[in-house]
Amino acid sequence: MPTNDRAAGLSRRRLLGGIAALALVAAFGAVPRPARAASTDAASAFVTGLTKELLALVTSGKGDAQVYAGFERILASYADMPAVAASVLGPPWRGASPAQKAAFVAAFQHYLSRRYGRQFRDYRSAKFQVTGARDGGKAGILVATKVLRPGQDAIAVDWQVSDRSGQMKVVNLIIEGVSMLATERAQVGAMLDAQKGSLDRLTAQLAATS
Amino acid sequence: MRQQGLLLAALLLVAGCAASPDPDSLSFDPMEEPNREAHDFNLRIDTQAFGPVSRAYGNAVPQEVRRGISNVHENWLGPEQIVQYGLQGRPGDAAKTTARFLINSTVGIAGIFDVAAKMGIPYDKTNFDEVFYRWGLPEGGYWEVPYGGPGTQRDWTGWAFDEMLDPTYYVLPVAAATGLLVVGGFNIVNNRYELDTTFDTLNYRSEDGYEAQRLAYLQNMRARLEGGTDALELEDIYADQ
Repeated sequence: MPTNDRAAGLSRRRLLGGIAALALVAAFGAVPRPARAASTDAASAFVTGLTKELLALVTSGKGDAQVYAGFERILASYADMPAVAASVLGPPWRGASPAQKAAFVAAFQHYLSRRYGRQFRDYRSAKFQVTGARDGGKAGILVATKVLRPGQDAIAVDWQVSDRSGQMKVVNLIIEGVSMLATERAQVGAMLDAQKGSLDRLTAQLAATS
Repeated sequence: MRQQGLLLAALLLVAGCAASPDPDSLSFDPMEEPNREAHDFNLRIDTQAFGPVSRAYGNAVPQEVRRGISNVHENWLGPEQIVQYGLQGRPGDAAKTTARFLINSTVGIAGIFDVAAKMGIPYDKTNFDEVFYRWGLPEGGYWEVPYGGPGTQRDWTGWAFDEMLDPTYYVLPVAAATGLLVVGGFNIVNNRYELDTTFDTLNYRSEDGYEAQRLAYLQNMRARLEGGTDALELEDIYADQ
């Protein structure tokens, strides 16, 4: 029966297509899912992995320069740095050339790694504990962690995670209620003012952060 | 002195309520000019005295001892906090604080050891600023005070009440009360030491240290009073991209 043959052929083709798609997923790891929100469980697991890497870095006994470089690598792989940088820079981002944007993202990532790397270096003898995750809708999921240090008060570090870029990434860090985005937007704004609005000079200043 | 301070604080609180544009936004800073002057002054004090003293203290005194001193300080805030929880309509927390105070003052040897925390009743900070927050008093403007540091009009008013209405100082003999004041001083120095990296980053490694500290203070204070960051109030960074 020709129709059935065709149907069988079609479903075989579909099956093959499915297998090919699976192979692609296996090969490249991620499927872009921009419309779907990440689950709180997946976000918690993501943050658990991230904090493990972070802790391994700060307890490694390496020197400052290596710890900061390691922290910059963690930022680059776990955070959506282009989106974060664009959000922090605000309106000037839109008028920038692709080369200026790329340079700004790299410089801002360097600046952030020094600024927050210094903070995380203090967590040498600490433990991270994921304490919960709450869905914030389109803005992403807020994964709450506690930094436990012997003899000192625990520090609340919340990670805002989103998969709107197609991959699960950190988009903001909130330490004891203090949002990195809000804080750095004000600082980068002040630097841009001090550089009389020049994005290139702002980029140079960020890149020179020690 | 104390009464004058309270009157001043109350007046400023009223003045704060009268100020208009969106006091909940982080950009609301009606007293920016005097605040920036106070900030420069406070940083000079910190550079010359407070910072070096706190680092010397932190480096010289072992962590267990510093913790013990902070524990004593926190323990003797207990009686006042019981009243403050009562004023907030939180009898459960008032009872917990009562239990903490009884356990730590006895088994914990005048509060040196936080035995109650190990028994599952951890320290939970409250102050008159939280009482006023729960009563719905507005925050007022951000207010950096010379020698005092960051706060808001509501916080500093709360601080004046904290200082005046602490029953401990009226009940204890003068020597013990004075001792507790000294312990409180060590605790402030220890807090500065433990927050050294954060303080340094905000105030000395920022393009605009005043603004960095102000934003950090306001966000931290709001999160503390509101019980953490609300996931539904997160900003969507992809909104205009």
